[in-house]
Amino acid sequence: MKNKILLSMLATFLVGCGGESSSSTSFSQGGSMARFAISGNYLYTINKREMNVLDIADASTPKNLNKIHVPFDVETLFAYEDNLYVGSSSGLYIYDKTTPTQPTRISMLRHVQSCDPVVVSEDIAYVTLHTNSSCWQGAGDNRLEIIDVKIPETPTLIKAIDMWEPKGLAVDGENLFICDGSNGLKVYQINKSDNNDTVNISIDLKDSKSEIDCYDVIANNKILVVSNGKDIRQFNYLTFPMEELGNIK
Amino acid sequence: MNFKIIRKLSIVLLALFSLQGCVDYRDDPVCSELNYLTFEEFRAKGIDILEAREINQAGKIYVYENTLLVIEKNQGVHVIDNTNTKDPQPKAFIKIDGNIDMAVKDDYLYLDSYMDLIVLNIKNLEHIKEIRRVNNSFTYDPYQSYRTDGCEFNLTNGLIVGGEK
Repeated sequence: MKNKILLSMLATFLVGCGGESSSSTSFSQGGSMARFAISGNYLYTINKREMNVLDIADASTPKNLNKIHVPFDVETLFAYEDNLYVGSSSGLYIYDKTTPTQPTRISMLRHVQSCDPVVVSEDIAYVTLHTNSSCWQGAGDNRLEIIDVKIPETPTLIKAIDMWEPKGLAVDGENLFICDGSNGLKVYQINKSDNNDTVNISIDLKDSKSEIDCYDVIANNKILVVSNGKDIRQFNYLTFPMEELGNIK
Repeated sequence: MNFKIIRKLSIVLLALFSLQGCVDYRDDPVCSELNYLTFEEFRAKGIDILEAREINQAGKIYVYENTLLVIEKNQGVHVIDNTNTKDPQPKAFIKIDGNIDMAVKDDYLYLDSYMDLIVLNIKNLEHIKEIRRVNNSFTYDPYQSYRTDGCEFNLTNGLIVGGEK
């Protein structure tokens, strides 16, 4: 009897664990500066002038499938639904990958020459543009662009917000995290309103860590991982101001 | 062709030539220190799975289940067990020349090494295993890790090593 109770408790516990993850696949996420993106059975990568498509249906044995010519200034890659979002120093390119082995460019939203990682969440793309010595030497702008990508063929800029020197960024639900250069790590509340098909977004600063001059961030399951030069810092973003967790040197 | 178009064209050409003037070919120590490894020699050197070491310059990051990966550009990847986020445990440093990026699927970690893709199994962080190398997944970029701008080089000799990073 005791054993049966134990077993059923164990079973409930196991089911409980399974229920927490949104799908059967394991959790896997890169930062906004990534040039590698996995989508289904394909690994997409960009470098300099090419996008590469690799078959990873058998994860242990990747196969080179295709090379696609892309503009020379591409920098970051983000997969979202049927599309690949490519950040480049001249703008945001959107590729359609309905045919996974042959992504095709469907649109571009041009901006001033800057470095620009991109992340997408709930049909909204967040792009940070920054200038520094290694990137266009002060010629560009420092700002956050918020773009409606509900129709990827016609991305529309909702608004641009001035920043200090924004680099990596992450979005989880209504939280937007931005590495804003020497102005620190910033956390914004995303407020979204939808009137007659016109999406409006506003953001409000709700936390900042001024001592952190970070390169990239990953936000998942209330844990924020921050790549911060000499070390990795971690925060819990269940409540604000965020509580610091263990760091890695 | 009318005169206006020719005039416009010549202005554009002049602008292009003056831009080219900014790239001055050098013959200084930076260039003369450049050496080559043949692609065979480079692949024979392989990768090393080493003990955990301190992070010098944290670059790209990646989260896979409870494992945290941190790249040091062109050098390799720190592997950290982040099961307890309050006390993360560094487990290994995977030394990979020419590494810039990573991704993980079903316990298989993909890492670039210049033009090749390296596959490792990270299911057990105590025993990270090299599975294979996929040759020529990417086009080799001679500007990736050494200062080669302005130097003359011949890529049929192989991969550029040495000189200034």
